[in-house]
Amino acid sequence: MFFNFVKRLGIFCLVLIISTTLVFFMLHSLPGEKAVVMAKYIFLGSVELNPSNEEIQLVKDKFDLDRSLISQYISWAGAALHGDLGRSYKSNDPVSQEILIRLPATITLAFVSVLMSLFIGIPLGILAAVKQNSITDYICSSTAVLGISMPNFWLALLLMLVFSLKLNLTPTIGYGGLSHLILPAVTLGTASSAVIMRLTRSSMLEVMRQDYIRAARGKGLSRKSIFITHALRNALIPVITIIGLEFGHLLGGTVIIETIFAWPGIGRLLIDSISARDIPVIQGCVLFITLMYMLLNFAIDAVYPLIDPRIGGN
Amino acid sequence: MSLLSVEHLESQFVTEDGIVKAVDDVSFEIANNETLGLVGESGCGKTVLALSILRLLSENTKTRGIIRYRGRDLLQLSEDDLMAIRGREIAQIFQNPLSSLNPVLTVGFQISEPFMLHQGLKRKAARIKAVEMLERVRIPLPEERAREYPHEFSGGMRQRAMIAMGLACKPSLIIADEPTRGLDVTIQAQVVELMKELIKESCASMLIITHDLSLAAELCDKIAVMYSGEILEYAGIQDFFRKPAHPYSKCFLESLPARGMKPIRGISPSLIDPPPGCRFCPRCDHAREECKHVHPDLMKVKEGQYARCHIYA
Amino acid sequence: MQKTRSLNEFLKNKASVMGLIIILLLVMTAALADYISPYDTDKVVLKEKLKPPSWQHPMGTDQLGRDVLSRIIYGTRTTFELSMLVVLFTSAFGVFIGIIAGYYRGIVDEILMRLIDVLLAFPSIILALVIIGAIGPGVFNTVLAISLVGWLFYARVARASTLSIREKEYVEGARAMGCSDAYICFFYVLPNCLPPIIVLMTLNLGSVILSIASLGYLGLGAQPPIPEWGTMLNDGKEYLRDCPWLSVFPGLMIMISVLAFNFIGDGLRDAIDPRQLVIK
Repeated sequence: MFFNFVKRLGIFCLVLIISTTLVFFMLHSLPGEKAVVMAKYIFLGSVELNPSNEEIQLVKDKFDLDRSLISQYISWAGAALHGDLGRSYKSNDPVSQEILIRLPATITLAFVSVLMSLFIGIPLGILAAVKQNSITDYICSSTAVLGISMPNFWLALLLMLVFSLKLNLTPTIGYGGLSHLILPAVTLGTASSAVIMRLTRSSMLEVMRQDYIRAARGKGLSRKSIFITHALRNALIPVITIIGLEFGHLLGGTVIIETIFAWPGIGRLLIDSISARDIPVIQGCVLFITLMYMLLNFAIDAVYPLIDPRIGGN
Repeated sequence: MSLLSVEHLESQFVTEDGIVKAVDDVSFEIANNETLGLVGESGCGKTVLALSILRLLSENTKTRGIIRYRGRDLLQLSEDDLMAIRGREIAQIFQNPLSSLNPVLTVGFQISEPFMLHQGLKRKAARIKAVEMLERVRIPLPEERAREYPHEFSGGMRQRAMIAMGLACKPSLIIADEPTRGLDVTIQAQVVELMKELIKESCASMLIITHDLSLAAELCDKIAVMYSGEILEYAGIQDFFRKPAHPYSKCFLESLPARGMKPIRGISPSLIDPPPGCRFCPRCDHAREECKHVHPDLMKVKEGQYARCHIYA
Repeated sequence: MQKTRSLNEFLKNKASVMGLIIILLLVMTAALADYISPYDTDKVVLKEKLKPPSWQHPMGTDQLGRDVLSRIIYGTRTTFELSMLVVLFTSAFGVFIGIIAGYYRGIVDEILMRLIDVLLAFPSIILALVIIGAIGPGVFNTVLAISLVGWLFYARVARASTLSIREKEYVEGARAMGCSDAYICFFYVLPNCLPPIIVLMTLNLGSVILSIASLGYLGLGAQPPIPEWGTMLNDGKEYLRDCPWLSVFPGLMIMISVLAFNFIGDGLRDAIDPRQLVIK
């Protein structure tokens, strides 16, 4: 158990290191690029204009940008370990501050979407499995394929068109109370609901074919109690695993959904800083997204043995 | 009167290659306090037969005939009535205990379920009973073991736990499907020993399904030999081992390690398209012309011994 | 025998057959775009701008008066060209790496697989975004960004198949007969790891189309005036209230294409032995 924990922690750190390294070197892959971008902001205040060679050289000297990428990376990582992610080129605010302001919005959106997809996906999956090959099953399953195939940004536009613009039920964009949360959360949760529904269905069908279900019938248990005590827990084991992966997809989706609904979260910050070529902020966003993703998967690994006694024991 | 009588039982299911007649016109009886051994090679339909008695087969399997238990036909009962019989009156010990025990529930809970269900015990009381059952099947430290999960048990202990689960409500009839499959020889001997004692104690009738003749010899009063979905011979244990009537039974006995380990030539016929005459005919040394075309009936060899072979016509 | 059975199994599945027909139609649309498109995609007619669907313009016109139907038709070409390019490139590269890693094993394989685990654990759209952030927006960069992440899946599946195939007797036999490693990889291992790869390619085509459209929608993919569905949606979103046709039709096309590939992929997966598939 303890060894497992240490191993998980090791992988956790490794992923953080690899992803930040990759991102760092990708963003610095164009030689001299960083100095140019910095010069644009420092001297011209905009990414649209081109700085002169002298201005670029000044920036290079001041921030010591001519040294090797590796030494730049080491100083960035060293500062990051102390919580210092540098300053945004654009606003000159500390990156960690920019991110922490927006963190709650993203966390709210992601968690509400995950919860939504569980509350929709699991019951419908079970229903479809219980009524296998019935009309209910066909409707659930085809809606799920639709949900997986629908581009989330298009779904966002359609929902906005119908519920905000035509019916006036919800606000179109922005951040605020519950009413602002509904459309983004529904958009973001749809695909995950569909994935979880399909998985629950197939896992339930698989479990109902197992020998121990037949043995439970042989004991004289009713269909209902077989279902509740014997089938459900086994069927949910793969669903727990997929939640971690789905959370990753959701975080990817927040980038688009936050942009559409003007939701002030990290995803939108990432897009804005990509267009503004605000390298420190891009790096910070990726770091935080990785962290959130890894933490959730860490938590899932921790609750796993509670559901599946075969994992994590001796 | 017999406790269980099976008459003209047929079980078949549809596959892509055709209709599989896994059980074809099978009849037998089990009296009170009697143990019947159903023996045969793997794939002869034994397990399907065992599962069809309590109607535990999947829905695409069609079962016809009469399965009379204490005068009631199990095939005609409603699912609710049958539920009251399963586990209380007739218990089944399944083959492959690793997959037949639920991996996410403790062994103790799974054994206590029949008590809660059929004797209306509360969880705590049922748990005490479950520990008692584990003790009866000689599992050391039953208190602690009851809290463990199936994967923490050894193969032999899982089989004991399965037996404990079957015996829980003192059933009148126990159906044991390959109770020693997949166990080491030494463990097998222990399990057989245990079953012998438990049968004596509980006065239950038993149907033991196995491919292992030595196991049948240890435990059974009567033997039914199954081949390609039908019964080829039906005899008392003494008669069967002293003077088997059907050529297949003779071959089967000769294939035992203790009797020369002589293989039976050829392979068993398919259950989809069996030979028109005697099903054993293609592999039989005594086959005659009529064996190829005329399907033999079960014929009386002597009192209490029957064989499906034209020799006895 | 096995192949005919799989084919029959596939053809029995109505959804997959429908998916196949849709894809064939779309591919034909893309190929014949020059002949069936009613208008020039770039022809700006400002006095015809933002017209709702009519007989003249079945899908209406956009903010520059360009015919939406024609742009959708040429958008099919853009989307299919790009996505096929990505999938062919990534599958070839990924399978190559996967077979080599699985065939030779060793420390390089170990490191490579850990790296792939890490990268696959990460939301792929964010990686693609970062790459775009580094190299800038554009059609070619979109292909590059999606490909840089995309080959990982293929490498993993090909490696897993290779691991089991290299232990088979017929490979042992070929080795004993003195066949070179390259020969064995190409004529023995490759054909046998193709079935799961083909299923993956089909399902992957759907998600690549989604990725391309997502980047287009964010304004980071194909740049105007190239007709591309995601970019069209991005252009149309400002007119959502009054001219919904600008948003509805491109999205519908994206969904239909992805749906069709998912149908085919599901059908193929069921037809080929499902237990061969390592990834969901």
